[in-house]
Amino acid sequence: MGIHILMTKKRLGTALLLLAASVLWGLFPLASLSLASAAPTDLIFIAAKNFPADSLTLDEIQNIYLGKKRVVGGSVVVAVDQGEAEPIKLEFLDRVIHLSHAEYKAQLLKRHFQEGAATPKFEPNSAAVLREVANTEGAVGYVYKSDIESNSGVKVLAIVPTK
Amino acid sequence: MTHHHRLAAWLPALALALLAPLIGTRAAALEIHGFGGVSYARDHHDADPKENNGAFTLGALDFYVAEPIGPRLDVLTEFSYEAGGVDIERLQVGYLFSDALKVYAGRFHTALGYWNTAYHHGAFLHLTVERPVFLRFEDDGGILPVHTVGLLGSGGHFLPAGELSYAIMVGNGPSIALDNGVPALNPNNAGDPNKNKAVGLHGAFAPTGLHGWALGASVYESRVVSELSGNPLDVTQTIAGADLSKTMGPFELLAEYFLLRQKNHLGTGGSTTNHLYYVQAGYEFREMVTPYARHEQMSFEEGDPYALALGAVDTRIETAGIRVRLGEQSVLKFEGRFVTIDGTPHHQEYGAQWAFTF
Repeated sequence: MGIHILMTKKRLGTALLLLAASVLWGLFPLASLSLASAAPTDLIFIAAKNFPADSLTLDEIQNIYLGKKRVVGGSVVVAVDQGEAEPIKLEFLDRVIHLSHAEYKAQLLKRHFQEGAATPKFEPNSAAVLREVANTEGAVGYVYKSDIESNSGVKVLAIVPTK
Repeated sequence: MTHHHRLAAWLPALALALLAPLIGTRAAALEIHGFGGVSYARDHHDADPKENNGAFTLGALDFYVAEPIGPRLDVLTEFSYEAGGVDIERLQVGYLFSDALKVYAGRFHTALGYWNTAYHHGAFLHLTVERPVFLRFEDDGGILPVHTVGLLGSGGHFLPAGELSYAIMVGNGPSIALDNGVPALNPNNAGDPNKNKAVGLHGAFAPTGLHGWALGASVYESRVVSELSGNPLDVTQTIAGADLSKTMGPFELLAEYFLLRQKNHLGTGGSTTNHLYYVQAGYEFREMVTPYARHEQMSFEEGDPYALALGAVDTRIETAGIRVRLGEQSVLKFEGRFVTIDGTPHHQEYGAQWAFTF
């Protein structure tokens, strides 16, 4: 019995450590989803109002854009990315994907060649991303906070502060 | 590929039939991608200078189309235009159940190790000019079954410690047949000479804390027979493999090992065990220049019936080279290869390749 209790405490300790590590690794949202407190240049991850989840972790977002995660809440998710010339794209790669632009393109190419249709859909600017996300079932995109208007028809899934 | 699966008219027709809904309704959205390259290679034989020769080579021009045909359905077709004709490399339709399970049917890259599914015809994607010798395509002297026709299931699961992924497959086992007069593996696109299907499993783990690293293991079993008269072969082939890869960031490392075991069903029976491996590393400077090196070796047990049927011999190759990026869609590679056959230095190869993707 003593050994059993000792093991249980050890497992509890391990679980707490894993939980702490999970938070550190971004398995839970790192910022509150209140738009009011967000800075104008914060990255706002958005989806249509009927998207099956109310929030996403940074790891989930990274895996969605790299084509590793295809399903959220039982629905197929569609990543909507910004055009290459947009400054917000570099913020996104630096803050969320942690890859250079060339590495990101190389990863998408490998994924597309290996597994087929699992790569993001590219839109030229934030206005187009907002339109696409609002009108496409399962779509997830990102814009600056200053791009969002009250009647954008989207909900906020995550806020990533910029430097 | 062998003459058995050289493209006849019906295969592109089938591919077009699968893509017809896209062509009819979303012609503007249909995107064709691909890989290609031009190479120059020169052999140098110290013992026989008459063999020394250099030549330009058109690499395979590889086209692929990967398009959704429904919310969870997609089709991937890949054609390769080579000097000998047109091959259908992949033709697969997939249904996404969840992140943990996507099911494909068709012709796909066999779930063996890392290189075979990650790079395949994409010469632009890998550091070196040549694939490891034992991972060459079936019609290019390859000894591993790199293509399979059948069913494939794959998926992944995200844990705090990292990502677990797998691929499990069942399909027609290969046989050995003549391809342009040379014995070669035949993936059997339209039949199977025996009732035993090939089965395979590859699993991998990518730790969260080690960005870009992954460790994998493979197991594959199939019964392989020879279709050649006068050269009988009937073996149960078991392949066990391990792979380690680090492919993000400037430092790249790939290492794969395969244990190839044949259980002979002819003559006195018995079994033979063979070892195939390579280790390759490179470091990219300024996202532009990557010096690299590879050591590869395949060693066959004396009298191995499978190696004898394919004419495979003990081979060791040391490769050193440099890759230079020319933009995001084109690379130049220069490399030297030092080839040892049956324990004796045999010849050197020097090559250059301009590879691209579109």
